Amino acid sequence: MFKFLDSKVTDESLMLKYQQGDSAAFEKLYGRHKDLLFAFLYRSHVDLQAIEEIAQETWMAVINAAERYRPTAKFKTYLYAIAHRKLVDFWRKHKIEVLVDRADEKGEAIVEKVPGPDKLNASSTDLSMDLLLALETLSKEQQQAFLLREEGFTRREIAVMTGSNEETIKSRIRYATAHLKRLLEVQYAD
Amino acid sequence: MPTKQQADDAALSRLLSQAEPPRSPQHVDEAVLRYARENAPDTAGQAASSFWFINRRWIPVLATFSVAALGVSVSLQIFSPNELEQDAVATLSEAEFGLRQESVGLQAQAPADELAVVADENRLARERVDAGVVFNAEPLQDVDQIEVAALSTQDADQNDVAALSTTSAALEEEVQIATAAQPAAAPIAIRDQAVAAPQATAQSNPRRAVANTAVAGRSAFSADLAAIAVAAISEENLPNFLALLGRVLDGAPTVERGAVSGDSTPQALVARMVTLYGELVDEGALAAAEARYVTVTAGFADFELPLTLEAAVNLLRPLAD
Repeated sequence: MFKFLDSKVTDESLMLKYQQGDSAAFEKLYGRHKDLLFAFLYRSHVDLQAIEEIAQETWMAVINAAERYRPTAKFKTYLYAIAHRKLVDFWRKHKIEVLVDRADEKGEAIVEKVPGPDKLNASSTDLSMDLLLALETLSKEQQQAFLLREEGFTRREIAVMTGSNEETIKSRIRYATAHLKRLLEVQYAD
Repeated sequence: MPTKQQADDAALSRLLSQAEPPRSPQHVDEAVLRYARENAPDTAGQAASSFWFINRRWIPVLATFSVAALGVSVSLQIFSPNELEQDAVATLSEAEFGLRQESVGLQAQAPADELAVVADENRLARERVDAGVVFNAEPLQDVDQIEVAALSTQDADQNDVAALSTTSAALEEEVQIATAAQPAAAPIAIRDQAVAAPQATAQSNPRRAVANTAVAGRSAFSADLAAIAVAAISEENLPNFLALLGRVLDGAPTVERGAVSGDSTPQALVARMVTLYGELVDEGALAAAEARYVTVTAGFADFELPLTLEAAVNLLRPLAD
């Protein structure tokens, strides 16, 4: 009963309560989003240590801006917009190009690690892992558009979060989807 | 029927959700929550101060204020101009009645010389009432009071504002003239002058000299004079008081004479008494009248009376105007 009522409290209400000094409200809010955000960051960047750092910085940014928070949009949009900016900052700081295939610690292109037809493995777990690896072959812009759409955001929301327009986001998502599908079909083609 | 594109999207979404990403590490959770507790905003409502008007605690206040404002506006609309005019007339009547009562009180508390000054002031005040100026029964002394009185009538009838302003200006001028004509000394000083310099007074004013002579041998005006005068002029005793003055001034009961002539209203009788007294210009006649007054009042025990005829007539002057 209480759990049901608790779930009815919106993210925005919890954030406003925290704005008034209620730390417990923030703990509830954090509990709702921490794993989803971490998963998003993980799908965006495979380096776990970097992801932890970005996740922590994202939440601290939310805390620091709590007094200025206004419920003009969904809290989730607000949170992921901050996370996206942190990711972009991280990529810029580490000079990670947005359109090149990234290499692993041994200098091999990550896309090469995607199993080819000769290493066919049709299990869904492996397919999922392959998809994650395939995401690394996308440009960061395409990758972010695709992943944010998978998080449930609309094209308009993604455009606002990434500072683009809706048409650009639409084409990025279309290109990302086609690319991933082609890559996976190649890998698992009979 | 989903399109091929939609099917591909759904398949990719399913694959993505099946890839179990690592959960948020505990040390990250602890660090974030600790930071959140340490940096929680201190004061409640601080951040919401710019949106104070949408705070729920203001809703009852705004609702109450709105209802009150609506009630006032409706009340103002249902009052017709006639009702307002009637209210104004009633207020004027009350003010006039208050003026009469107050003038009697003021005269009772002052000696004869002072009463003359007060009578003049009350006459001016009465003219203001007749002109439609409402004030709180106290004789107006300066321009500010006249302006305040004029302002107080604005609610009664806005159409009279211009007329009142004009009247106030005229009255202001009149008050200035009256004030200049009167001695600047305080009432007590006036009384002292009257007692200390009877000879000078006799030279300048024979009527006052006669009155002072009649008072000679008696004690100076005492504080009891106030109570005496109030009793004499009260509404209940006024007919008897007028009858007594009639016997003094023309030797016959004035009430009966008035009744015969049909001129029996108290105001007409008062006016007649004042007129008769004013006709006594001869010093001898004045002295005789004062003597008659002393004689008549000596055997009068119904209520207390002023000590001199002049004081008695002065009490009546405001009512005769």
